[in-house]
Amino acid sequence: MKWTADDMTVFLREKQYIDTLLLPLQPVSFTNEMKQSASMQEFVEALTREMEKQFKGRVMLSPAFPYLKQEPVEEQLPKIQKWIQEAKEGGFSHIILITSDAGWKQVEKSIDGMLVWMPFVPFENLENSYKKQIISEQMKQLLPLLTMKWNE
Amino acid sequence: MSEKKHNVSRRQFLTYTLTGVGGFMAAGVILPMARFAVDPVLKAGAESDMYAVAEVADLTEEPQRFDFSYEQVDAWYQSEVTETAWIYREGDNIVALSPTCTHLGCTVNWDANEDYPDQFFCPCHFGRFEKDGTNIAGTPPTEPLHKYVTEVRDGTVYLGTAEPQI
Repeated sequence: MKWTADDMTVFLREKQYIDTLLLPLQPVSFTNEMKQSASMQEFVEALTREMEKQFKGRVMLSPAFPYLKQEPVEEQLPKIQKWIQEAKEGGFSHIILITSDAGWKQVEKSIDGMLVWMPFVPFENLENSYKKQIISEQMKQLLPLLTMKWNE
Repeated sequence: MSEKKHNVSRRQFLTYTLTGVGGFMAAGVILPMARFAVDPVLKAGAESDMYAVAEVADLTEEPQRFDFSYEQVDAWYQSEVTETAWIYREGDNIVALSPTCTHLGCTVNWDANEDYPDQFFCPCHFGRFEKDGTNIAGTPPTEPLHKYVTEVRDGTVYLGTAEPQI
C-alpha cells in the first residue's frame, strides 16, 4: 500500500491483512554529502517502490524518516523508537527499516524492528533498463528476507 | 451610375462590419469550448492500446513471465509503468494472466512454493490459483486472476488490458 488516500481507505478496511510497515531512513545533507544523500534517496526510493509493488497487499510504505547526516545516528535513536512504537500501536506487527546509510548498522541491536541495509548503487548516467535490472537483482535478495520474517 | 448601384449606406456598412467582427469573436470563444467538449470522444481509442509483449515461438505450455512497459499519465505526472504477464499456450490458444493477486494486489508467482507445484502462489497471504487463474477455495482471493486481452499479429503476442474472468 502506498501512502495515498486511496490506498489508506483499503488499509482501514483490510487492516488485519496489512501488518508490515516499510520505513525508509533517509540521511540528508546540505553541504559536503549532498550528492551522496541524493543518490541514496534515489536508490532507496526505487527499491521501496518495487517492494511495495511486490507486496502491496501486506506491506504499507511509509514516508521516509529524514535526519541530518552530520548528526550521529545515536541521536536519532529515541525518535525512531517513537516512530516504531506508534506504528506498533497502529497495528503493524512487523516494522522493516530500510536504508543505505551504514551508520545504522552500529545501533542495529537497539532498534525494535528489522533493519535492512542495502549498499546503494549510484543511478547517475545509468540507462533505465540497467537501473531496472539492478533493482530486480536486489529484490531477489530481499524477497526471502521478508517471507522469512513473516514465517517467524 | 454604377457607384450609385453599389452604394452602401453608413448604417449598412457598420452593421456588416460589426456582425463580421462579432462573429469572429464569438467563434473564437465558442470553438475551443466545443473542441474541449468533444475531446473525450476523439480520444476514446487511446485506452484500448495493445502492446507487443512476446513472440509466439517463445511460448510453452508452462506459464512464463514477460514484462512490458508503457508511458502512463497519472493526473499531471507522466511515468513509465512496467507490467508483467504470465503467458502460456494451450494448443493454439494463448492465455495471458495478470500477476496481481485478486485479494489485495500483491504479485503472484508461478510454481513458487514447493508445497504447491504448478500453481500461482501469493507470498503475502498464501493465496493460490490454478494454472488457468481460478482461485483455490480456502485461500483468501475471491476471484480468478485477471486475464489480458490478447491478439497475435505476425507471430507476436500483443496484450491489451487485464479484465476480470467473471
